[in-house]
Amino acid sequence: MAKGDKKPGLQRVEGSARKALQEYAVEYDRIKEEELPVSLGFSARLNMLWDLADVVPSQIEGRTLSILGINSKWRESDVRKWLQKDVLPPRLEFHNIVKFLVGQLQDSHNVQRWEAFLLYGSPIVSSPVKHIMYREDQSRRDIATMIFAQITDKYEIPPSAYEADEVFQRCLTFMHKFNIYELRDFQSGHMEPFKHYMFPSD
Amino acid sequence: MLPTHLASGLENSTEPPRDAGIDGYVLDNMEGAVDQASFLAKLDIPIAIVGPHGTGKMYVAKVVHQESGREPGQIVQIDCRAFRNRKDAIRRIQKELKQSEGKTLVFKCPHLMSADAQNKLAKQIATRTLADVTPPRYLPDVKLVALFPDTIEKLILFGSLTEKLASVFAGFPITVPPIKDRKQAVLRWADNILGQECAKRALAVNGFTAEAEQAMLAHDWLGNISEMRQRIGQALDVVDSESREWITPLDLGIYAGRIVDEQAATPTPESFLEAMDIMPDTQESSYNPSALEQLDLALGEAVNNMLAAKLVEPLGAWLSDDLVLAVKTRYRGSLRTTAEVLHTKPRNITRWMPGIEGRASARNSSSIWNESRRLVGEWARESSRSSQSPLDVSRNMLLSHLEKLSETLRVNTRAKFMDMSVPTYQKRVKESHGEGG
Repeated sequence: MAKGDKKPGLQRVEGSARKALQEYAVEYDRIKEEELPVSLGFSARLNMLWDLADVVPSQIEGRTLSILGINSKWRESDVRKWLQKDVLPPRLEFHNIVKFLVGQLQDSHNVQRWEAFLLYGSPIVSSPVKHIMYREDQSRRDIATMIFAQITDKYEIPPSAYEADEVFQRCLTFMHKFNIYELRDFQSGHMEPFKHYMFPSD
Repeated sequence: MLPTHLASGLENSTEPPRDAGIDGYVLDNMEGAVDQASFLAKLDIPIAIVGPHGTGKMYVAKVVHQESGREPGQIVQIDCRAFRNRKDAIRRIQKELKQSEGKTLVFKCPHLMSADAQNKLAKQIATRTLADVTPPRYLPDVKLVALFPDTIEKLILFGSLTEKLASVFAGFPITVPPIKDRKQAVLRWADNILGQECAKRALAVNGFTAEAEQAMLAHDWLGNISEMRQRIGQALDVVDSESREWITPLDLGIYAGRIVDEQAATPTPESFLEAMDIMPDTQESSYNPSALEQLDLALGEAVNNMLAAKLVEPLGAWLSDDLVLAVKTRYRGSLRTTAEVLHTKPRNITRWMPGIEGRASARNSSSIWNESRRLVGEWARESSRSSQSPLDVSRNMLLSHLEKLSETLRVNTRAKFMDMSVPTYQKRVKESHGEGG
């Protein structure tokens, strides 16, 4: 970008000038909030992550007291607020809790993505467990198997040319993107894009 | 060519589909809703299922129940529109929560309860503790599901859902999209529903004509899957299987005045970035008219179509007949509740039934009346109890359409449409003017 060029997307409306700093101060004062908006559903999502991590009993079996056993510096009233009243832990505490819990999950998960999901929920942040949900269904796995077989058959791709598990997961992912839930959803026109996505280096 | 053992693998799959055993529904993942339901069923998280009327929210709730491993028959529907007042709501919910061990409780439209009742339920769910019990006791092992017609954020904005109740159900809501947002599924659903309805009636019909498929793709399906089932059912009721093998747009009643073009039939293509989940989800939902608003339009159309066909039928009586039947169906035949909802006495319902049955044949065979009947049913299903009688509300709507034609239509014809004598008709008009101020 040449010097002096404006960044794309940041141009002002034609004819409008930059406001005086004082005007921005007034605007900031007008829009600022005294309290953070409630993070609706935060406690439910945090409990969901505790459920998935499976390190303490459920809520009806004394979860709060068990959690206190993990870090004795936490106060019971604070933990209850985190688990029941959508109150967020302090930033560092929150990061450490999520890092700890995500570390207990079987697959590899991204801590920052989980933090964002717990804070804002879906659909603002797409669910970090979406891909697991889709892959669990056996009937979908059967369809993926058939697509896999059709593509390797049609394009004569030998088994030595690919890592089967990786390609199979790509097939499942692409089926998800294309809303393929039944075999009849897979049309002949899908073959080409599926082939390119499943075998990118081919 | 696909290897034979793979081709036969699907048919012979030993694992039953996720919705096996859930009657009256169609195998479909509903754009991921079933996956999510199945995933959340195994966790202790209250589940919100969000979607307009007729999209299959109850079906998803049944998937939750089934996948949670609970016993069949242990799913309890709590229709929050049917509570008489705050006390009634709190009392009934307390009772259900106390005896909920091993069950799934499905709260239908809990946003229609009073704020007090909502907050009391919210507190019990958030703390997993029963209210008004000494010593304090945890909730039994129960799966909690709430069905909402709109997004949680919108219901809060409209002031109907309290933040506290929203909070407990807002963890990971399941969205069940309306048919208009998933046109690619229209024909799949239609085929499956046709198969089910044919089996129910022991009919053998080949399928839909190409025109019927185009008409279905172009249709808005505001009543969603419920509307589709109703239209296909009605089409089968008029089809003579000996002479007709294909369902036409005419049978479905979605042919009128529609010019079906390829553009309308094709789903809006998703951009590649969206398909790759790179673009943020910014889709805004559009305005959906209520069943009552749609009924109002349909009544106007019915009057005009009758006049165009030079017919004068007792639409006022048909309207009341279908409303009584729809309310009675919704409340599982309870005369007392039907009468309460309609602001009348149970003995009046009994008294009206022979007349309602006597008019059934003429009413049900009128294709002009089909749409109004469908919308009366939908209105009866989706509305909560009101301070005004639904019979009066609907009659006044019809009356106002007839009065708009007062310059061209003689009063005795208008009275015939309402199934009233001329003096009674004129009295009704005066009363309705009085109500209007």
